Amino acid sequence: MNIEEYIRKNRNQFDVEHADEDYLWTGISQSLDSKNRKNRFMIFKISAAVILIIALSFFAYQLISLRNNQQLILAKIDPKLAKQEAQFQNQIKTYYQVLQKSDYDKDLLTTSFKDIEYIDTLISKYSDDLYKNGPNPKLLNSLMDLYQKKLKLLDRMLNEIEKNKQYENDKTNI
Amino acid sequence: MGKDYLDINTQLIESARKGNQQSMYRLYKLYVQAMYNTCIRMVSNQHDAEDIIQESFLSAFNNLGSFRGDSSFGAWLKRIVINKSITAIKKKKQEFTDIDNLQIVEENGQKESFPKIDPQIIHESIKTLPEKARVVLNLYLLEGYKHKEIAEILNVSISTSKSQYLRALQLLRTKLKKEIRYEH
Repeated sequence: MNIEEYIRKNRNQFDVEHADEDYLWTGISQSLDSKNRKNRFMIFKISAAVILIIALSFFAYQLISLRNNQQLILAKIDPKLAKQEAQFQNQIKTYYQVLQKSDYDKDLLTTSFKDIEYIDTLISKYSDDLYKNGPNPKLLNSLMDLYQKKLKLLDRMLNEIEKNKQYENDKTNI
Repeated sequence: MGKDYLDINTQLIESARKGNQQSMYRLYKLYVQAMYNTCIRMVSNQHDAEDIIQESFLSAFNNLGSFRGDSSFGAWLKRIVINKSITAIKKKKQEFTDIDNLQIVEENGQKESFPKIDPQIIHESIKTLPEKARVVLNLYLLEGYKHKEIAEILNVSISTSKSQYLRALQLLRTKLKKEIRYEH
């Protein structure tokens, strides 16, 4: 039998060295543990990010609902007032459209937009209070008053624009 | 290899795949000695072999998902060990240069009959062979690779693989003859 044949025939007898199993396994298990720790930390980070996104989305939704669904809030409290509020809002919307269409410098008007903005902040504040503390007759009445004031201001603005235009026309006719 | 043995292995692999470290340890215990011997014959250095074995088991456990069972777990694991051993050798910038121009004379000695030799002596003699010849001899004679496969793995020509193998055999025969002389 030559050397090749001899080695092939006795192949399974050549594993004569003994590895230090415990030493090698210590290194392997440490790396496995560290990988598991890394994976767990990664899962924790992903979970935390998901929870944060959900929480932020929830709060954003709540905020948007508060702002946009004024009618819904009032509808829950008093359907009659809700209907009235819807009418006010429609009227306000129409006034704004007319204002936009009127080709007139609004800064020249004596009625200031700042007054309207101030009323808007009050409406927003009262709505928040209603949402947080529930129905309150005083607050509801104040809210309706604010809508009426806002309408009056817008109406005054439009009248002013109309008068000014009329005055300009008269001047040109003379 | 009996059916029961295969079943136990399959169970261990499935369990290890799910991250059970106890099953990983049992797989490790089953294969570590054979893998270590294959590796140390390739790299011929205890510290390198230990590093490679640790890396190989880690790589196997981390990639158990890609083990489809087309071959046995042992064969799959050995593939990893051999690939990592070759990568380690290549890192040492030992190039498997072509030695086609070297005349390897097929000596009469190749047919020469050998007396019974202690496997320990053969194992140690293989470890002392020059790197390139040692790797080719290990892959061809002990691990059953074909010269075509060796050429692909080592990125050399088939004739280089063959000539390195013949060179390894010549050197091994010379070493063993000396050993036998000392023994007697």
